[in-house]
Amino acid sequence: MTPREAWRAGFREAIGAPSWLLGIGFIGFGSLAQSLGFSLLHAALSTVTIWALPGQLLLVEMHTVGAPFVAILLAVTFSSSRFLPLAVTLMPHLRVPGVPAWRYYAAGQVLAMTSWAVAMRRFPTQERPERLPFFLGFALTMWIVALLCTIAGYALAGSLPGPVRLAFIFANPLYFVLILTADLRGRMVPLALALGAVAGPLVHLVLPAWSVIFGGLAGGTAAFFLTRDRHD
Amino acid sequence: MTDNAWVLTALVLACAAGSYVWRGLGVWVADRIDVESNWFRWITCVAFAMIAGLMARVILLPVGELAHTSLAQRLAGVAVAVLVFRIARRNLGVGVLAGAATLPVLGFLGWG
Repeated sequence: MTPREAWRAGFREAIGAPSWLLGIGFIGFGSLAQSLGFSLLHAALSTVTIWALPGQLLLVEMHTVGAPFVAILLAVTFSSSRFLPLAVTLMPHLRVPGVPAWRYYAAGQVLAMTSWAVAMRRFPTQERPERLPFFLGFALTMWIVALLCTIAGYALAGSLPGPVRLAFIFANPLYFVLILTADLRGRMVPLALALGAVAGPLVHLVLPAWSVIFGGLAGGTAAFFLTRDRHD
Repeated sequence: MTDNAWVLTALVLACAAGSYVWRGLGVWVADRIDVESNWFRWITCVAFAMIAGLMARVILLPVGELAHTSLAQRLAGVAVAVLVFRIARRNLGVGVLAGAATLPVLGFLGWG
């Protein structure tokens, strides 16, 4: 494959089930942002710049309940920490001698859970020089789809029938419940998810503005210590 | 834009920078970090717990439009999503759609 063909292959792979699913998530996000009084500009800006649905949901939800600036920033930043392991595990596959470093830093910005999963699946059958263009073709397509769907969701929020809007908004947490629990292995991550799911709502009852970060710290730290000596 | 809009713009951009810290750091340390270290394991735990905590909060104690549905309806939606996902050979789209559609359908039927 020439680099141009690899770009196209990435684009073709993205246009299909991945875009469709991601699109629903971001239509839901756009509708939610509209219903919570966020402006279209800020909703679209968050998709382009933050480009992480959980972080964006945190942003609009916490902003709505009046959480302080620093609390929102910390929560969103912490929630994006999953990009560290994703980037760390992805980049070694993309490296080709002679490619300028900024391309990898750009790839880091468009990286998402979906593009990571698809790329890791495709890499074994791809030549090394094909991988970066394939990944960028896929990830950039997803990025643009997400932006268009954020705008569509926002614009449609007022005119979508109530039941449809409700289903789209509910699709977001469902998507993450499924994607987070689909491939559970070992003990650490399942325990972190379970304890986080308990701690988050509990902390919310006492301290709504800080529930995500304190709930995550409490549940995650407990899971870490409970599985500390078991490296599975 | 109003003052509030500027503050929100700054907040969005700050959150984007905060997110990019991990992305950029990930690229930078790709060859250096020990993914078996305790520090790395702890951050992974906190990240997963935080997302799970938020999703649990949205499902159990929602704000906005979801707050007009009952807890039983939302839990039924989650159960349907997981069940259909398993039956449909782990097809994410089908699972999410079935679970999401459960909510308005139950509302229409007046169940829960």
